[in-house]
Amino acid sequence: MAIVIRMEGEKGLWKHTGVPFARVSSVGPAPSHLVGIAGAALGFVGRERPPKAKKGEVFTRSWALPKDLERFVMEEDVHVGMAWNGADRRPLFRRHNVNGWKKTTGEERVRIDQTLVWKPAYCFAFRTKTTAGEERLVAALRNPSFRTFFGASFCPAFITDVTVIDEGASVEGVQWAGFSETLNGSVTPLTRHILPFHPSHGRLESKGFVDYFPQSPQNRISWFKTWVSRPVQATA
Amino acid sequence: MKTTNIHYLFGWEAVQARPNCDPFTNELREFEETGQIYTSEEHFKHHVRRGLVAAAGEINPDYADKPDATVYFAKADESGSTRSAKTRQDAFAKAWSLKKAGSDLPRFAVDLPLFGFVNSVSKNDETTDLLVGAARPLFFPCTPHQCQILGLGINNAFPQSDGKSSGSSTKNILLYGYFLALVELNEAQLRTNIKGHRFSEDPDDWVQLLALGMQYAYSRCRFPSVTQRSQFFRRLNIWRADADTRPVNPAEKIYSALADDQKLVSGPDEADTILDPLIEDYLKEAGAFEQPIEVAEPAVTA
Repeated sequence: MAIVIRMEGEKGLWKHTGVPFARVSSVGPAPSHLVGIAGAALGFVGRERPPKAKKGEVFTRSWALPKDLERFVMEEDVHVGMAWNGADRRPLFRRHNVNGWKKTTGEERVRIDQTLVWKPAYCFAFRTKTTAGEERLVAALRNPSFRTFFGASFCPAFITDVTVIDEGASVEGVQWAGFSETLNGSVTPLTRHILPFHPSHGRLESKGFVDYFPQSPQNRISWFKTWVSRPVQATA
Repeated sequence: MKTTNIHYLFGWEAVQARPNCDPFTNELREFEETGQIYTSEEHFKHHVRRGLVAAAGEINPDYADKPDATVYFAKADESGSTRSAKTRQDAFAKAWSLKKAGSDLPRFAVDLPLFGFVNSVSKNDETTDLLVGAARPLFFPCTPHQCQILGLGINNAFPQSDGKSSGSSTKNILLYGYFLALVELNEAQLRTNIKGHRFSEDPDDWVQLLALGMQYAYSRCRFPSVTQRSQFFRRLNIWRADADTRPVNPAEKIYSALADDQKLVSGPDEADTILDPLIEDYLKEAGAFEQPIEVAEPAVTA
């Protein structure tokens, strides 16, 4: 079975990791983002700082997954799928520059060039290994504990529909995203959590792209594994 | 059990003001197709932090004599000079007798549980662990009507202290705008954030803190600058909303309900007659009158 949800919001900022000097949104989330949405709905709390990298370790600025969420994702072997919801329109983007202090130690203001995805609407799918896991996730998505976001906490997101379907069934009007090693135009880098976390490996794997508008439209869900490898023993 | 959130519909009006501009163009933030003016959510929170300072002292007297150690992201003083992170942390350490503010900040600063930590994470940042704010506008705070904008052109109205022109980049000014912000306070996030907090561990105190903070920010604690001070509190409704409720953008909803010849609102009287009835309709549809929360009365009105 597959849990299919629809989400929408006024704006989203899925920061494109390939654009270092500006905050430019991708079309939609990568699998690593969807884990966060599930965790917010489930109410898993995580306040762990990114650890400082020691010699030989990979420095990462991405947030640590709450331990409960890491366990849920691994035990349930969570897979996700994603789609732009609305075959009749392409994503719109809107400039939204802000003035802020981004340095914690300095005193100067930094103007931030931002481009948001405007009024985004998505269809997402989750697959769990057990029925109990599925029921738990469905209940949470229908009655989320924390507010969900589209990539940044100033981009609140709303879950408008939650259904459970046969995994092989198509969802009317939805064309699921696929994987691509190369893409033209606006792209979403494909990032996935590496679990369990170990500092020798960093937190995320980034490889290829999520193709929200594949050349060959497909109604069947394309599943993206949310964890990719168990790290080998770290060297001393 | 149903998860609930607290929703606030906060309204204020701006008269001959520049509520918030794009820092690259120095122009008002405008939806050009409809002529509606909006602000960033961060700018709104920037205002409210000023109100939180006064409100916190009223609810918890321990905060009354610590204006410099109540909100963490008060990054400028009254003269506009910046206050560095170190300055602010030292102020907290001194006021609350802490050896070092560091990771204790989220237990003392009242803005962190509500609005979260806004800086990017730095390798050298020792200030606090990561915190997601419990409160935020769900949509850009925005006028539900078309606005009149007066173009000023670039002028030299604000010379520097050395007598040289600063070359003010002021380009335009909003003649009148009635802004609406639908703010959500997520109860689960709030309970997580206020564990062990010096201000209060009672969520109800925080609900009222935010209510008073918003009112004060646009009444007795307005920013002193010429372009910011002419903004005035108009209304506040608070209610409990189920987590599965799909919030509706008040600015879009009300704008679409206006007749074509009423979309331009140019003053408070028109706002009273044209907008207020539609705001009441909006609140009714949003369920604001089913589980209302009493609004705290400001100690001193504007």
